[in-house]
Amino acid sequence: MSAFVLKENKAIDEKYYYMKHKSGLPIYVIPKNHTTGYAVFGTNFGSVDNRFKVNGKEHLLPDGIAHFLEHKLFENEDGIDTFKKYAEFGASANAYTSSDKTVYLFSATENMKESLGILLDFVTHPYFTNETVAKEQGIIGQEIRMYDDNPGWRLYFNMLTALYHNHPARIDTAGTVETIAQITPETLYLAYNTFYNLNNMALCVCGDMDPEEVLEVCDKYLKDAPTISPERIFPDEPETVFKKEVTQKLSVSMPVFSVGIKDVHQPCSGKTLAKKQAEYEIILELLFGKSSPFYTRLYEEGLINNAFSTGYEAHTNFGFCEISGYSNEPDKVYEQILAEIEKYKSSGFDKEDFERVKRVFYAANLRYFNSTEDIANEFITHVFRDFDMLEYPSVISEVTIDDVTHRFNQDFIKDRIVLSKVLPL
Amino acid sequence: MKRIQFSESVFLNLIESDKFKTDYFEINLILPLREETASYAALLPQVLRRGSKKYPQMSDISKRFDYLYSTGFSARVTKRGENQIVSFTADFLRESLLPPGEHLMDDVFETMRSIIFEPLVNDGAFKAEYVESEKKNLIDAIKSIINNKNAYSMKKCHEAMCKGQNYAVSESGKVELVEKIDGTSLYNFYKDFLSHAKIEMFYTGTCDENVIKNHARSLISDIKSEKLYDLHSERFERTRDKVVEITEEMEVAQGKLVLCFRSGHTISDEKYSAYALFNNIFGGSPTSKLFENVREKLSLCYFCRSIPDAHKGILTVVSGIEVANRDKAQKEILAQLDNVKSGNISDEEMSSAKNDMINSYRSLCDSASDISTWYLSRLLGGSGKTIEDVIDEIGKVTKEDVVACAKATELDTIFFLKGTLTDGGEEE
Repeated sequence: MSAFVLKENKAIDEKYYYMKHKSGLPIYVIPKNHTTGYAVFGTNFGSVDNRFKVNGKEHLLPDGIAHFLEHKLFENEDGIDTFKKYAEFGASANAYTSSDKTVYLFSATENMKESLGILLDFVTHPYFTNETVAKEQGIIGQEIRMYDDNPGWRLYFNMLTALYHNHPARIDTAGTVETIAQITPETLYLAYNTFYNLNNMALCVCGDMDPEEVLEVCDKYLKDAPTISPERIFPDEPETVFKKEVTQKLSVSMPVFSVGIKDVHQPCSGKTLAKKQAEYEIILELLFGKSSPFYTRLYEEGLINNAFSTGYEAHTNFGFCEISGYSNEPDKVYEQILAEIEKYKSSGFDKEDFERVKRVFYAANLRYFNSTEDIANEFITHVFRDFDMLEYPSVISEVTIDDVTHRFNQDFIKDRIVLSKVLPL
Repeated sequence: MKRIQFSESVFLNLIESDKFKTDYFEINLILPLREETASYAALLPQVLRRGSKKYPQMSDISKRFDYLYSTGFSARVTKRGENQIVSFTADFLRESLLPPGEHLMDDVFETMRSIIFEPLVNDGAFKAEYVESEKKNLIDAIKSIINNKNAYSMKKCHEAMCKGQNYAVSESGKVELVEKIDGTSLYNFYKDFLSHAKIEMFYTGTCDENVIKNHARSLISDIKSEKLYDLHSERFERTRDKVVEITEEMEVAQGKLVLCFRSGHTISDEKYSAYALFNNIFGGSPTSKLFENVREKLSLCYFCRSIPDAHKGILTVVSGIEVANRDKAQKEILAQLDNVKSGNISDEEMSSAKNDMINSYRSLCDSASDISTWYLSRLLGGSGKTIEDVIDEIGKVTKEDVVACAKATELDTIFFLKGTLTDGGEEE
């Protein structure tokens, strides 16, 4: 028997096996009787990790390199495209890069072991040449142009540029055509060798697979990795916002808006971050959720429609709330959002509303456990924040009305709120 | 899946599964996609979810679902070929996750029944305030198609190709027709619709068959079915050598190239699986010819894919490109089709495509909504095939079958959204 540890949350009928592989890689196996198995292998290296010190030397990477690297890893020295390798075993593969992580994944209904082998193999074998880098600049250039025309994407990043003075969260994940032109095989190897270290990565497999089988594949493909501890450098970020408002004009049918509220409590991880996230989400639901007086009022006045939504984005080095939707009068909606915040500042929260919203949020969270894809992705997100997905439901249960009242009064401050708009041409 | 027939027009499809935290129920009311009714059908669910007799305010409904352990309720309108589908779905926590002694299902069905079948009606009309407000939202939604340049370009191409046919009708309706609707005409439509619609219900979960049967039966007990609508999609057929080309300029950064083909194959054909496999090889996956050549070899784009409409018999290729590369991209897309036509398909391509499709068919049963959508699409195409049947068929498709499908694929209409911006939008 190997050194897998079983962790369980009986209240929600979920469990997983964990071990730190001898190579340094943390492995998580979440058993499920779904037909589709899902595996994610990722590193906590994303678009914000552009400045760091390693072996005493400081480096600054070009914007968009984490995403570029994700694309390039699919190419192999033997000339066989990774998608083709998977296809032989019927697996469907993909990858994504966010502000704080890069994740490679596949789903399969058979041959899980073979596909897992491909995943571990290609991610641990980089191969970059001048020619392949140049080719990718054309492809990613078109990906960037596509996002230039996407109102939701522009709205989101414009909001981040308004929220942050210096923090790299304001940089577009894909970079720009100019910044990706600076990427070379050398910068890619530097990023790879610094951040694709097994100690800095995680593997989560969710599905009908025995932990011992996962271990067997890991033993075959993973070599011991010397620990590299890059020191990430983040610039000083004031608590205030960079600018209150940002507007862009695009060919859209009606104005789109996004209100951002800056969370200044960083760095933050583990249970503290999870609890903060639950508090923010409960506050947003109380103030602006579909059952709130605010939502009903603005909907009935025709100021918002059912595309209105809210959410808190949790990261270890930055975080913010986002309230977004469509409106012909985005400035008016913005004013009403600010007024609603002030209203609750003086009235406080109703105990019954709080309990209802907490129950809603608890039950809604359980939906993540419906699919192996959602579980694996959510699981690795929590791992990189030094937390455990199975503990999140109890964190929600523990939040009190005093916690949210304190969070609300302390953090929903006018100076930390911005408005981003995309208007028709 | 177990299929139970309640009447000539009403069916319940049951899928037993214990792998989800939530149970899933869906009711689809289906009518032919026609210009004169499409706007009504698009507006109807939006008005119904604003308030019912028992829950007259939108907030009464959302609080009710909150109370039912955050039951997810949605209403949507889609089209499948030349059919329009009005769907309501509910997903709710499975009984074993509730506090001991608590039950949800009675209340979930009671609430759904109230929203869909016991609406707020006065003097033979829906509440004017709700109708007017949802008309405005629907008109905004119809216009918002332009926000998604891909969807917009594909729609324009389909409209041009299928001009004068029902397929060109939008499932979201038409601005001028939505404007004319009022509470009375919508209510008249509603009554007429309920008595002629085909009804397909789906349930996935752990509940006992008889229990769910009773719930489903009582849900629709007020419906007095008369003559069922004639539901079928006209296969796209035309013989012409001339290809119609349309170019539209817009202030966007990226050009969108859409090529629409007559596919000659629909889901009602015995051998449709061969066409699905041909599509996968041509442009339906990351190992396809379009991905490998237009993207990977020539780096002309980030995405270039083919999408068949199995009900109408058309195939659409869409790609986002630099405006200056339009001819190059079009030439390469057509060259790849010729490649398949001339039998230039390796054994590896055949087996990869088969594996990929079989994998995605098998995965369907891991999503309650995906599996319902898949079966509904089959049923509307007049095919009673199961997932296992289709997997079997895919395995038997030969290279010759694929070549024949490619040969049946003929270019009909081209739409090009010509971006006029060289560098992003203007920023203030």
